[in-house]
Amino acid sequence: MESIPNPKIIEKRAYNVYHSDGIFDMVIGLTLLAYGILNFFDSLHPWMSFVIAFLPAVSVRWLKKKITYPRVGFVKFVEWKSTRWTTALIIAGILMVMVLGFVLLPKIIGEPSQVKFRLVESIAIYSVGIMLLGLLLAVAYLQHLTRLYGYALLIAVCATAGHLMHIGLEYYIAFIGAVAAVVGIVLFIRFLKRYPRLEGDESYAG
Amino acid sequence: MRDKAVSLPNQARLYTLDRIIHEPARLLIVTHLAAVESADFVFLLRQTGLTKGNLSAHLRTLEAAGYIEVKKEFVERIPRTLLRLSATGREALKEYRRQMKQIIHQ
Repeated sequence: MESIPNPKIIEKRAYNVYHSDGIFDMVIGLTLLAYGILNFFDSLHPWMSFVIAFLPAVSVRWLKKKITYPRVGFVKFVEWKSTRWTTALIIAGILMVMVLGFVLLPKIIGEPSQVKFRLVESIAIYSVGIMLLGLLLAVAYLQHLTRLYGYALLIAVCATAGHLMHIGLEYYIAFIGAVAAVVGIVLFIRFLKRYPRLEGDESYAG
Repeated sequence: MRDKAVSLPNQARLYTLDRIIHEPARLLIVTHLAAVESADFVFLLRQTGLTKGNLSAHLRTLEAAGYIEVKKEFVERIPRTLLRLSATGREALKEYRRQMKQIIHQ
């Protein structure tokens, strides 16, 4: 009997179903798009950045609860998934500290000369890009979310092209956001078609 | 199984298989629950492709055998039934897989 179901394959499949709703892509994409557009019009106030940064975290959770769970059901994955998330968050935390260190270092050690400052600034920009790329790849690997590799590649290509062709940061942030939002919307529509909301009594009456 | 005829000692082993788990739909349910910490009814409905009535009936059998634990709770006033594989159920599945492997490979 070769058809004994393999729990690992089942777990992976169930996990992928949860991330096939496109909500994450859609929210992150729209956030980046908004960030890029607001930056383009120079109308990005500090409080807006704060709201934009927190919006995805709140809305993804809310949308998952309202749209994903009623359609595919609620599931709590085994401990190792949480451990992977914790690892990803720790990596993210370390990277953030490193990024802040790079950016704040020149200010902490005193006012450097203009040339020195520009050098440190450009190192910091490249470091931020590489670290964000590393973070995305780490999350893709740890969470088995293969389409994140695609986003990582897109970011790398856009950042390099943007640098070589002197395209402003806001343009490629908006472009990456638009791509992610479109991917998210397509996945979201497909998810809604594939998993319609169940009607009637959906609970086990045992 | 398809290519080789089941030899006599293996045939005897087949009779010792846990009938509760050996039923295909229940095996599917148990394996799904083994893959996660806990899940609700809708999740199993989607993943197994069984009908509501069929799934309920199999869950009752598994619950009666002590293979699954059922916890009912309310989330924002909506009832949710969380199902998880008990230690007995996990052990039974492990044993079933071990027995099946022996039958296949001998």
